[in-house]
Amino acid sequence: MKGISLPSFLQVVELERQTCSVEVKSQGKRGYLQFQGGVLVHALAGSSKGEDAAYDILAWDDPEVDVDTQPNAVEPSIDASVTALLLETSRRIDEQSRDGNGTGNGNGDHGLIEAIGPSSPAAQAAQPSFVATPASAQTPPPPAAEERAPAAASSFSDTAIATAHPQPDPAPSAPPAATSEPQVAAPQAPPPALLPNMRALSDTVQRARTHLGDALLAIDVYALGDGQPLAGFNSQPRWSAYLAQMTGRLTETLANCGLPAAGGYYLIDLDAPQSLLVVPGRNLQWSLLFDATRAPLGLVLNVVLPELRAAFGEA
Amino acid sequence: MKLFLALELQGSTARFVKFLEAAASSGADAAVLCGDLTGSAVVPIVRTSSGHCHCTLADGRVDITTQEELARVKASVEKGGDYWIVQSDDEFRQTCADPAIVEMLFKSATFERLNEWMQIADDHLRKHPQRVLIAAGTGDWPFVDGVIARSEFLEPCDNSVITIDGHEVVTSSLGPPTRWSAPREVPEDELGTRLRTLCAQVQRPENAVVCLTSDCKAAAKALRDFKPLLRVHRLTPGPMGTSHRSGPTLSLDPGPQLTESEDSSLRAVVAVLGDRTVEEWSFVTV
Repeated sequence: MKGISLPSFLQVVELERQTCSVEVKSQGKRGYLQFQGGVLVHALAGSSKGEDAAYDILAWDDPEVDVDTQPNAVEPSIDASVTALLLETSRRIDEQSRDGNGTGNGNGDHGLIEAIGPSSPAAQAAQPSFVATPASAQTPPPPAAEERAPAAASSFSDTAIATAHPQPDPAPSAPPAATSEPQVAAPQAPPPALLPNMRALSDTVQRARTHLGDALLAIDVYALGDGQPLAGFNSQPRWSAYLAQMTGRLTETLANCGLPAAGGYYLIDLDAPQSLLVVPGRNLQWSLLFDATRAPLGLVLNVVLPELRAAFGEA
Repeated sequence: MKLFLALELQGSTARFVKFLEAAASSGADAAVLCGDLTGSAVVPIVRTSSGHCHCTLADGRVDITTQEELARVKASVEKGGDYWIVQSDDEFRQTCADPAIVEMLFKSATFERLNEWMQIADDHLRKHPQRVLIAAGTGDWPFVDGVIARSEFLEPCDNSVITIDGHEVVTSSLGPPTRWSAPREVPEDELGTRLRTLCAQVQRPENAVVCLTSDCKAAAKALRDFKPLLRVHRLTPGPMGTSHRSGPTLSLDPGPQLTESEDSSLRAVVAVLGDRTVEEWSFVTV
């Protein structure tokens, strides 16, 4: 495949939790990115491997992409999400540009920031104008047939070829009834049919550790109904039980006061230089204790928090 | 409580922007956008060895000889909600021969467009705060949910019950089997069961709003038993919006978005809901 946006392609692989090896070629260079269940586990480019190889590949111009859906098993060499790698690649390109030996222009115009999406403060800082409404929003629409196919049903239109019908995703057959619900929900036991995806939860814990490093003191995800822990790092099961109760009482208190329901999270500034971020969902709740002097609040609220909320959908 | 509802933007960024702006200017307490959110085709623009390009649009083959013409074609494709890709002759032939490549091109293009929408929405809602619920449609790939979840301000509402000012809004992207084999199709029996399970979470059906992007007998039967206050869906094949009342339930179908429209007009529903009553409603074209 040529002409494809590599960052977009890789994020689709991540969102669809695909297992595959992506071969990337550009200007005589060749590299590989290997995904396991949507998690980037390994990269290889020339003599470098791991995250350094991934940074190299993501910075290549006009890449040609090939996919092997039955890759050989490899030793994991990467412990970072695609989003984190794209951000770091963007930063490196800009840094090289400032040093006068790179291709970037210092404004994030290399296309990586746009591809990452709205949840990154680094992205917003690097290119504040990236949300500009496209020209198509101000001009008339094109002629087309009145009755259109469902979005994913037809895919490649040209009279030279018949309409192709991609196979429906084998993935989520169950309705995402537990998708991210940003409102604080009253505590209730999750329906038995909505078992969380433990892999997705563990992956998100891992991502939080990657983002926050030593500033992360503890993270737990647990059922909102009974506080039963499901995944975590430096887990504190007693906190989970109490915090699940606290969310219920907070919801009740706000309702009794006639106030609007709480938003998607609440943040407690503790007496010590620590902060506690609690993210309730429909059935699950996250709590995250971090060292506020070492983790910028912007990083927590704009990078880690969106990932936690997205994880509700995945889980 | 005033609601602003729209369905089936099918990849049109122009209509998505209109949806956000019209929802804000309507003074609605909340807006609901249901799928299909994504476009239905990738249009290959084939670059020949001479450096010129050609592609095929609804009106037939288009030969492109200048950058200005190329830009116009790209804009025209985008305005219809579809996606474009520029390829060489060889790449085009290779793509045609491999459905897996077609699928990944389509998904990547879909991701990019939706990602752009999330950025547009967050920027708009940061300046004009309003509750905006959003759900994919039967024809949207499952990963669309993951892109939606990245938005800071949009509230994912697919297959869930969300309360707005005392009215519970039930949304489902599931649809019955069709000849399109869309990603979120399920057998009719299962669809009915899932809708009933979803509706069972509602505390006050007499004040509930149900938004469905697809319809079928099983869904109709489930909702006949449930008896919501308002049902918004796409059902009728004709070009006009329709309404009908069945018992306590008012059903509104705003009709299809007019893809041949010259002004990217958006069809939507505005409804003012009271306790057990739809006080006012209208189809709007903006």
